[in-house]
Amino acid sequence: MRPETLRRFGKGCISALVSSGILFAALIVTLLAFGLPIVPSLHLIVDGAFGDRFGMSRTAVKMTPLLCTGLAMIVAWRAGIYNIGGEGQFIVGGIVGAWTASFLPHDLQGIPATLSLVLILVACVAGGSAWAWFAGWLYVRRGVAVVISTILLNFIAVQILGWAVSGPLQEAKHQVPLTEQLPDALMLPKFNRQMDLHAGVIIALLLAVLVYVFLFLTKSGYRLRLIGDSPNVARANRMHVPREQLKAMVLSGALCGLAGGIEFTGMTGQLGLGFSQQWGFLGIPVALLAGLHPLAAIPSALYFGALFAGSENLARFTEAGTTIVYVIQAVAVLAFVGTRSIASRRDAGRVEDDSPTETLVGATAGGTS
Amino acid sequence: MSALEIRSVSKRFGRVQALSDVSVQFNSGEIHAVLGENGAGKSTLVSILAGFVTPDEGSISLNGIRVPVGNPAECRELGIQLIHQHFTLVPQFSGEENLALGSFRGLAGTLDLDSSTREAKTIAERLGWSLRLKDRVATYSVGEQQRLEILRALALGGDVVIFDEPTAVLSPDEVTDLLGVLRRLRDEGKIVILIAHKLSEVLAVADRVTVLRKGVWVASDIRDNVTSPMLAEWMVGEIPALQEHPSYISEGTQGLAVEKLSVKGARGEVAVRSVSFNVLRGEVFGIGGVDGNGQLELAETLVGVRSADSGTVRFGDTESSPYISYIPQDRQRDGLAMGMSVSDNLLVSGIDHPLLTSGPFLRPSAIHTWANGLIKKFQIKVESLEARVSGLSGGNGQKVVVSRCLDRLPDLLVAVNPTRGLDLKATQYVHEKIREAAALGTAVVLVSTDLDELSAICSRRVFMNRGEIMDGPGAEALLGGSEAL
Amino acid sequence: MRSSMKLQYLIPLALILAGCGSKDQVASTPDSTTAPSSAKKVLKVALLTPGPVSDAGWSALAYEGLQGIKQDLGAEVSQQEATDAKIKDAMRTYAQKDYDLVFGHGFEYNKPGVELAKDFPKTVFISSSGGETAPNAGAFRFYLEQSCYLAGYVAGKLSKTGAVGSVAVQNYPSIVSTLKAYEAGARAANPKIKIIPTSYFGTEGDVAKAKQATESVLGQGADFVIHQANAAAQGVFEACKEKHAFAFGTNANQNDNPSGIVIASAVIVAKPAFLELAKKVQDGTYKGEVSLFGMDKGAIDFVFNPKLSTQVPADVQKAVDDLKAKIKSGALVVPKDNF
Repeated sequence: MRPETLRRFGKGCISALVSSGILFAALIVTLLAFGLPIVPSLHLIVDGAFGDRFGMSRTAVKMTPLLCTGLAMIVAWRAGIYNIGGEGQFIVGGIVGAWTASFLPHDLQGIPATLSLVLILVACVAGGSAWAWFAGWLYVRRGVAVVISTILLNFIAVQILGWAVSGPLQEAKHQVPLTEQLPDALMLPKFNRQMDLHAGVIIALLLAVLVYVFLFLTKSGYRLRLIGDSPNVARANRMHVPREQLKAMVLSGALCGLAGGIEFTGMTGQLGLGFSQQWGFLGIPVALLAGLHPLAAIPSALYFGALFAGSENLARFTEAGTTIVYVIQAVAVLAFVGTRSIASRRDAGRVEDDSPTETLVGATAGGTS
Repeated sequence: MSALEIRSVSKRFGRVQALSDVSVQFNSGEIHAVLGENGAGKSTLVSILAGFVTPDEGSISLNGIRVPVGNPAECRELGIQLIHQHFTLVPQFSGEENLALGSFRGLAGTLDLDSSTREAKTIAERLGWSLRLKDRVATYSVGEQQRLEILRALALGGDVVIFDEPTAVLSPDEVTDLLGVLRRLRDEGKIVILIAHKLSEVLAVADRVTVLRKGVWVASDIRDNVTSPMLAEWMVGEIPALQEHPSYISEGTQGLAVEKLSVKGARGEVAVRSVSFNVLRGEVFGIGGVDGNGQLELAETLVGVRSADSGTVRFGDTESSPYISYIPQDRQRDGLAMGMSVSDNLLVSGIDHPLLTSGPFLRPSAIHTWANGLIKKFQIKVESLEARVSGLSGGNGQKVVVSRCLDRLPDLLVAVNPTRGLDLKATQYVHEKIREAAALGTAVVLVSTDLDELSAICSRRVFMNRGEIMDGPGAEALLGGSEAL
Repeated sequence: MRSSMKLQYLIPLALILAGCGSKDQVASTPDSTTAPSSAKKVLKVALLTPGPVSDAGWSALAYEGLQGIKQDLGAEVSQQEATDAKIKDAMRTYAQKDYDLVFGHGFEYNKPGVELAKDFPKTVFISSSGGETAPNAGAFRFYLEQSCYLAGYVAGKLSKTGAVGSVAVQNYPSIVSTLKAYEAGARAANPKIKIIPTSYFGTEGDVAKAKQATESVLGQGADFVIHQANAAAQGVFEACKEKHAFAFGTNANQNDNPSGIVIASAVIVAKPAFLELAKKVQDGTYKGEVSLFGMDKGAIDFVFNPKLSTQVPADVQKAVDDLKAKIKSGALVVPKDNF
């Protein structure tokens, strides 16, 4: 191994130890604050995440949307366009998917189920990318900061969802604010009736590899990274920066939309007000923990997925109640952001590519609780 | 008669010696212009006088009393007032409130706008200015804002008024007004210091002139003793003669043809005015002149980064579009993607190379071999191809840029100040490579503010002044241009 | 920064993986061996609620029922908030953990329960209200309409303005049905009574919106208000107090509310219903069904606020008692919607 690589490996290990130590300490403090016994609580968390095949399945299905939205953030942020509208793109993807599903014949005659499923997923991708394209267009053509427009589009998406599930897309009896349940044939295949594990996990893992190949092994991906790292260099080499950024934004939205589609066709089968469990927002810490690297996003999403699956188990079997799930989520994100800013302060002078991220994450961390 | 005197002042910022051993005396009843190019040390001098920067060596005294250095508040107290180049007004406040800001002593107590702005209003009356003091400053014209800025400084009292490049943002009428104010202050017996780089203004108003060049004091004299050519020569130094180079130009080869090219700058001003010239293959065409006269806009238009307002840029003998390489002026900003690896930075120009890609994909192993080849050929010292380019020294960083630009021989090479900030060895290296490219048939346009550089490698050179090209070798062209100001 | 980030994830991951590896063995052993019911099997019961069990209303009363099961049957119990996308997730989780009975406290739990019942035949899913059934899934329903009818009757008798109204969170069928009974009761007491249309405020737990909605009902002349506001009931009571109107408590006994204007409460007594169903599941006699729990089974009651007894004339108290007896005996059938 070259000395440079060795040095970086060593530095990475130390940094990983420090941040995992801090994440762990934050978890302990949270447990203490709720007056929960440490060891049994940790046991419950680990048990909920990996205790049996059901736990692992739960972790995997929570990892799936996190991985997709995390990859979406990686693509956009690598291009220097700070998309934090994953939540909105996720939701709009789901809405367009459910809308498309409502057109498909219920008895499925004439159209093979697989084709219908693909149609629905394509619709989700289209919805998510359109939503992101709009923010990108506002930025490229009108100079509206992406951070602002994507946040606002998140709110609009939530409102549209609320209207859709109690209006045009509401189930036939108009009793509850939910869409019609998708028939099993239109859902992503499951491996076991008793488990929630679905084929979306495989799609997400494949996506991580695809995004890696795109970013590091294609010309477009290279241009995207160059533009993100230094728009001036790209410009001086006759690359059309706004056009490339718009492309990155659309791609990011497509991934978020697909995440929504996978959640819709894999897990929920229907849309309600709580369709997105903050998956879009949580993609940000997933992407950051992965250091904006698509393959590193797999363990990063797995980590957050396990944490959430575990904390739900904790909520179920202790007095702390559901609140603790949200608290653990928020603390994990905040503790991580905290370590990032400490690390970047230590690295003062080399923070040029980190500084916008800090502010952004600060702004979005609130959204997770 | 009072005087402000600086003695043997030196200041170093990192590797840059901003001022070295500068001594000047400013007298009352005089407008004393300090002249120099960008980077000559004017701004450092102003900052030291106003107490924002502590000099490494030297002292300042006012009327024989030593002025404490590095303390802006005390400098103001002693009567040294600075009119900033960039206004320090709060746009959302009214004119009156902005004036009151100058007399703030603390946050306690109530704000009495009348008493705290009385002095400024008296001065305004004396100067015959009527300002809309109740209106928000955001509604002021640039000239009005500057008047407010001047009023606020004068209201603080004192004998020394420093104007830091005050005309940069003003319209011609406003400039005339301002020069009137300067004269008036001089007649009141103040020490007026004017920091400038435009010869015409200095010659119009100054009583005494000091010229700095690259942080060193060059000359001081009274206005009547200096002429425009003298000042220009002091500012830029002697223009060395062109060195003789063997000509590589073969008969009949056409190169770059620029015709009546006009380009607008970032703020919509005309940066390049109807410029025409030809550069043949094998020729190094130098464009000199003081920074900010349109060279950068011209270079960017030639490489296609900026679009022309009118006129044409053609590359003669090729039907297909020519292969153009660009060595930008600001290596850190436009040349290198600092967060990416050496390999990625080399790839900037290789991205369309047919051997390094297949279809939409990159070929990592081919790129690796190619990049290693470049590193060897151009003797770039790097730890590994994957190391970040930000870890490289300035010279090695520039070598990365130069190597990728010259890897495939370009039809046209445009280089802007390609050796700025490099040491002697690296400079020679870059010059050598540019000559080599020309020898192999590249048409080279070299934009540089460094006269030595132009003389060292150019086959032909012109100077740019206010967006126009002044033809011919020698100093006359540049100086003629300056006089036109 | 970026390069060093790459490894940061490895360590926490390694920790978790290491932790789970060992847990896996410990946890799975008892699971696989407890299947035969050699010893007396402990009943496992879970409850899913739409809101926090501290809402002093709908969710709280179900929690009381769950605690009753724990005390009387010695069952192992667990409770979780779950709405929307989380409903199935939570139900499935309990079924995976071999729970015998999963209560979903609301209409919205009916369908998911019936669907999951197919995949988990050993678990019984029961929702409070709802009409779909499966062999191991069903619903039970509190006949809250009975006491809402009585509330309407009292309001109709005592209203000075001649108008009564209602405030609710959403037009869920279960809610609409109780409000219809309230209206029917009011008309029975006073055929000329004016019924102000129900004001829906839409957001679960939003006290301010509930208050606004109540103000609009009071503004149209009502001086008696019944609510289906769940956790946002406080907003209803505050508005009534400010406008000197009276309110009825629902679901739980809310007579003690500090506003002091809750004249009576339409009460659900959860324990009998929950106990009865849990016993059936324990005995293995549960069949998928929709069971009804009313006053006859002691699951529904109507309780006057003793502190405001001066406001209620003796003849009205008497009439209410008579109506109660009729309802219990079946002589009076209070209207209810089927859904």
